[in-house]
Amino acid sequence: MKINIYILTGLMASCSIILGVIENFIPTPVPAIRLGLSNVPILIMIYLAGSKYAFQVSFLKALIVPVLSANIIFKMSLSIPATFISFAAMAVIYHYFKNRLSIVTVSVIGAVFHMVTQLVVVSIFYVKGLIYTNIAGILLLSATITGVFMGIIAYKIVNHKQIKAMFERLELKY
Amino acid sequence: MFRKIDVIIIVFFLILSIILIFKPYGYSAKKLMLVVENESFYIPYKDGKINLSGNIRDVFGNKHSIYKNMEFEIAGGRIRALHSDCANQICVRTSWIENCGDSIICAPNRVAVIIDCKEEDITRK
Repeated sequence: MKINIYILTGLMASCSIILGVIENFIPTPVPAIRLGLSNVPILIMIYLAGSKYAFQVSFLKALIVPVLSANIIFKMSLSIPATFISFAAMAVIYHYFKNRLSIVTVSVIGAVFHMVTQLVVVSIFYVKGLIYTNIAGILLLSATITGVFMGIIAYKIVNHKQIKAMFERLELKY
Repeated sequence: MFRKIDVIIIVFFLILSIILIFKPYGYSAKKLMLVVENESFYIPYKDGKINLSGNIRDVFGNKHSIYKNMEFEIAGGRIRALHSDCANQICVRTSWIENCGDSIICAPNRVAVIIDCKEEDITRK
């Protein structure tokens, strides 16, 4: 059976969007942090299908997740730069260091860039002087820990036998 | 799954975050700073409720008119947000804060309360 890459991209994008919406309802010890579950499909696409399709997934995720949760304009102004910069960091790191770094580190770097971009955008446009309080350390710690967990989940999925075989049957055009 | 360099990078981020959390945020007395949109001022640190929908007097006695639908409560040196009209209620769920460098942030309303222990104003750096 042949699977079209566009169908798979759409499936991964919808997976990412649904995970991004339902992670709003998962309670965390610090209320400002989120788990970053919607980063897992982007990581899978970077590793198995290539950066072009991963960019399509992250583009759809950055546009549609804010629409489905509260505060559309506020969340969109945070999610679009944060998702793009974190995707760019992950794609560049994967392209140059894929033989030396594991998927966990790529996930951690994506999470850290996502957090730093959000903090800088909030600090510039919404609340001035925020970057000098100790919320930066708390967010960096949580981004590292959740990045490790999401990286382990992505590692399990990327190295799964059937999923690998499914992506190898695709006709990818680079 | 983990190689040596992965562990080094992750431990580097962990140490950096712990340094950022525990670094001293100034040594002067605790001041309560209210950041609203583009202005920031110190408000008196005494027990009671602060309603942001009316006029607010800062420590110098100047009047500020900010029309945000939020209310803060100060009790025993601690401060929390009582209610807010934003959607995610992150500021309310932050609960009590009392240490230097802590903050209650309501980014959609562009309001933040920061316990500031620095000599200079951190928003004017």
